[in-house]
Amino acid sequence: MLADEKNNSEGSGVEKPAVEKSTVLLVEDDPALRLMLRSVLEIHGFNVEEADSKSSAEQVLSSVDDIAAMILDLGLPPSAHTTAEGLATIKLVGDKMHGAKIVVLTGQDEESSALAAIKAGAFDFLAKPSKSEDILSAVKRAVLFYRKEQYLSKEEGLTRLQINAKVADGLKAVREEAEEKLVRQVLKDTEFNVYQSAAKLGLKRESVYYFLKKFGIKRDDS
Amino acid sequence: MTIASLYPYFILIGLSIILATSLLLIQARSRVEITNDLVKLNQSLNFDLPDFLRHLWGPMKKAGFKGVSWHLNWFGSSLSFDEGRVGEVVVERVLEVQDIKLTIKLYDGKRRFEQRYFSTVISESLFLLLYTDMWVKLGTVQGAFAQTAKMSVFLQHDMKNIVQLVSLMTEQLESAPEGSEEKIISGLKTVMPTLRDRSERFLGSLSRQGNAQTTERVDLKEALRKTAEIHELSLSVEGEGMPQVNQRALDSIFDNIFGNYVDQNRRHPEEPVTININIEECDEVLTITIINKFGKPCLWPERLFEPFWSEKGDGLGIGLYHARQLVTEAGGTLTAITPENAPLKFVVALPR
Repeated sequence: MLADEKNNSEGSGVEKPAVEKSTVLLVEDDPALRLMLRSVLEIHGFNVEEADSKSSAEQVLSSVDDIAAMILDLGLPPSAHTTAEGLATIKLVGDKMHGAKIVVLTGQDEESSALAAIKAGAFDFLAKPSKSEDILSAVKRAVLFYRKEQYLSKEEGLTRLQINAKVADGLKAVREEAEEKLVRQVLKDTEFNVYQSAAKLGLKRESVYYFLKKFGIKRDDS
Repeated sequence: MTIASLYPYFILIGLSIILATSLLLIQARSRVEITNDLVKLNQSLNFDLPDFLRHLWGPMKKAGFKGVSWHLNWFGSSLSFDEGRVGEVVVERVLEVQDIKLTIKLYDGKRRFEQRYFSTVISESLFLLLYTDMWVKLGTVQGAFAQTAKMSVFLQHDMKNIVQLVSLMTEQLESAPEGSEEKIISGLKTVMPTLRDRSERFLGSLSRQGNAQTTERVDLKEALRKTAEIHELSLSVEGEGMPQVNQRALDSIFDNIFGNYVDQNRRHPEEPVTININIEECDEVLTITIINKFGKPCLWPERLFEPFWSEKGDGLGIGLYHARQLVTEAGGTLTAITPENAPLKFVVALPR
């Protein structure tokens, strides 16, 4: 168990996070490497789901509940030699409010792709080749953060939002992005129940409909 | 004075015109020959600018120039050359293309009338050739760098995956948690053949040669089925054949052709890919027709086999080029047929 994890679970009365029972989604287009990573994770007690592209990752995310972390290769088909599909996958996870923490494990150019991945919303970045110890440690950290956020959301009603803000854009842009993310998150939590979402957000139902229209949110998006 | 008395003058004028025209024609022909000599010389020196500069004095001397002097900055190195002597007239030109800069002086004597124009035609032709050589060199250098960089990105991606895999495998073998040995061995049994296939394909992309000399009778249906399985493509094959080819080359040919369909499918997952293959034996030729019946017409048929060209710019662009090279080496042909409003069709013809 990681030191942070131990400290967090002790003394707070919080149930110990089931880090090693958690589900990890492996998004990697190289079947041999995917198999090996799966084996490493399973030996250390993780449940593993697999995907070889952005679309198959999307399918897994919508069909499997409670995916805590993802190991993501940025170079995915059809453009396996650029970071485009990997970054689009990170964006997808963010837009759909899946909550899964993304650990990027990629062979792409380290400097530029690390920056782009973190900017898009990745939780951690590892360059290939990495040691299994480092991969496991990053995954455990990601799962821990996921569990804590789940706890905060459930017990204290706190939602963690990630916003990339440019100071030059001013407060309005930041506020709008925060509003959109918050509304999307609450709608997802309530399975698109407008009445419950309005109650959770402390708004009238009409206001929730206003936000739905404003941000173009549809039931399928949540 | 009668008109008849003017005849001798008319004849004289006529003869003078004929003489002048003949002289001009002779001179023009001589200049054309010199220009041709310059072009041929440049061609024989493979459009190499420094070499061409060193050899151009011969034709220029023949054209009546007194001397030539040039200074070349060639990717940071300086080269200079003087030949002949300094003349009364100097034609100077500075040509510059990125890392290449040439200052050239042509020395000429005093020329009058048509001589001046002939001289200008030759000097301008020479400058044009020199300028073309600069661009040829620059284009080659830039193209080579771009292709090397592209190739390096592609190979690095594959190589890093292989290194990552081997590194994880080694760690697992070295420090397997107690009781997990069986699981590790079972995992390795699944991983190793995939790793072998991957490494072979990687090696294949590095070396086009392979074992091209070793040929054997290969079951076409089986080879197609295996390659389609790797790409997870559904396949329907009609007919059969056993060409005498190199197995690895044949796998690589189908791998590259099928790779095209895989890329299309990944870009448009909503569009199904069903590959229909027809194998026909006719005289000494075995014809394999490959078509995705739900495919679209090809917009760029002329560019399909061009090296380092890819439709979306995200591919390496040597797949089909490589496939065609391999088919040609095997004594066959690979063509793409693009009927109007119908899917693209690949036709591989191999000797039986």
